[in-house]
Amino acid sequence: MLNSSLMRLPSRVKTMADLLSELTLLFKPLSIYLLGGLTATLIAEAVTFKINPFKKKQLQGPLAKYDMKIMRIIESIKKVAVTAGFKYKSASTTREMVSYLSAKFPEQQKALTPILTSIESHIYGGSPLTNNDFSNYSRWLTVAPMLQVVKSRVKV
Amino acid sequence: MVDSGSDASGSQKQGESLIEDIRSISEIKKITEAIESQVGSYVVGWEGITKSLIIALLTGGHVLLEGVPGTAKTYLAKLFSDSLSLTFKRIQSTPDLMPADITGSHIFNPKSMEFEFRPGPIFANVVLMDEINRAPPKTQAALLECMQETQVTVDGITSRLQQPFMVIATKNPIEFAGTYQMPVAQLDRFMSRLIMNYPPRGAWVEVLKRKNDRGEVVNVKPLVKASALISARELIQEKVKVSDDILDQITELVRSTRKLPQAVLGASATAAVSLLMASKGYAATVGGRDYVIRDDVKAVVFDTLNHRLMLRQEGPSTPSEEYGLVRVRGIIEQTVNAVTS
Repeated sequence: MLNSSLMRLPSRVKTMADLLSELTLLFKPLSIYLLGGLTATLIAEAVTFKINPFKKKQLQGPLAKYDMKIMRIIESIKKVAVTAGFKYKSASTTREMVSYLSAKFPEQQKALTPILTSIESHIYGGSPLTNNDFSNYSRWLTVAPMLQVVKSRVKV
Repeated sequence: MVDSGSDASGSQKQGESLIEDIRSISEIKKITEAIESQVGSYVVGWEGITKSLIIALLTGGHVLLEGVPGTAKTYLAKLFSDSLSLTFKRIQSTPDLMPADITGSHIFNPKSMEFEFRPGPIFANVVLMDEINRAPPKTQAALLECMQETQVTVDGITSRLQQPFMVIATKNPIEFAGTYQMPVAQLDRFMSRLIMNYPPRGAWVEVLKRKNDRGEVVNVKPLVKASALISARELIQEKVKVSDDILDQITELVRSTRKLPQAVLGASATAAVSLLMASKGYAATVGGRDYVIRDDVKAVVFDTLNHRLMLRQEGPSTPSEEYGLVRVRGIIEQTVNAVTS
């Protein structure tokens, strides 16, 4: 293919000494393929990093370094606690919210205690999270919306 | 005036199940609960105070108990000390108490024709300085070196004090006649100031019931040996982890007290160290944890900072002690909220 391209070049061009020009002419017949490849790469980049609808929300602030699942569970505990009537302040801690929830929903205490321990030991004690911790979180995350509904019914 | 003292060797004979060594944080929590339960069977309504005394003992701190007369400050300090197999000395502060009455002095021995050092009551594990503000500042200053460096210098000779060493001082905030204001440097040596005002009505009834049933009989057994307390202290120092977030929070909390418009003087660097150590102690003794959480800092912040803030006078021209405390509490709460946001 390369040889045939060279064959088709005018004799004036064939004698050109400039390397860049030679290469440009050499790859000219392949330009359509190169353009296609470049377009595909750009589209892939755009889809992956810029307009990805599944992209995870980036955490801000000092907690950014912690596991996303921990942040989801803390957010969920906070939502349920606030719905249940917890007066949230910026200085409120997860332990305070869990204590409040345990008093409000005593049946949840058994599930919340290991979750609180794993959150605190990971954030403050540097302990790695285990599969057991993740399954505890998942279980709670399925229960949490129901607790919010229970509270809203009570309110009505 | 040195009132009374008890010796560890004598106490050890009484306690058969004395704990000699502590090897884990969970053991520290168990011991704390045992001491608290024993002291709580004689003194009603001061469980938190006993806990704070244990925290200070296990983190190398000293405690100032402040409250109106008749709130069992001295009794509590004595019971606490009796629950530990440690040497205990009590100093009753008076306006004519001299530094040598605390540290000891060289006395001429006519037999050996030499001056011999007679140690003062400071040479004990637990020293109760009763009504500390009745001693003049010169005498209070004799405690500075002991409390900060766990050593005492008399006539140029420095002697190490026994370990563990702890000063428990009591102070009555109501009476002013024959008392001296405590110097700021002296106050800063105390890890925490614990406020003991009148307990709630239920506790009063319980006190009367127990007095009626038991009278004056006190049978407190020593539960822990000095060696176990030293091991516990080392465990807390070495094993209880403090994350960078917590260190930042403590630093910011203490620094922000110096920027308060209401404060003439904010908390010092010593206050930050005290807050850190008290938080570590709280994590181990109350939580049984080997890491500090934000709740630990919040739990000890008032006791650690309340005596270190000097506020500008506001409101009543002669503010009561209670008014002052309520104000300090409010300011500390505001500071905590501002820092953790």
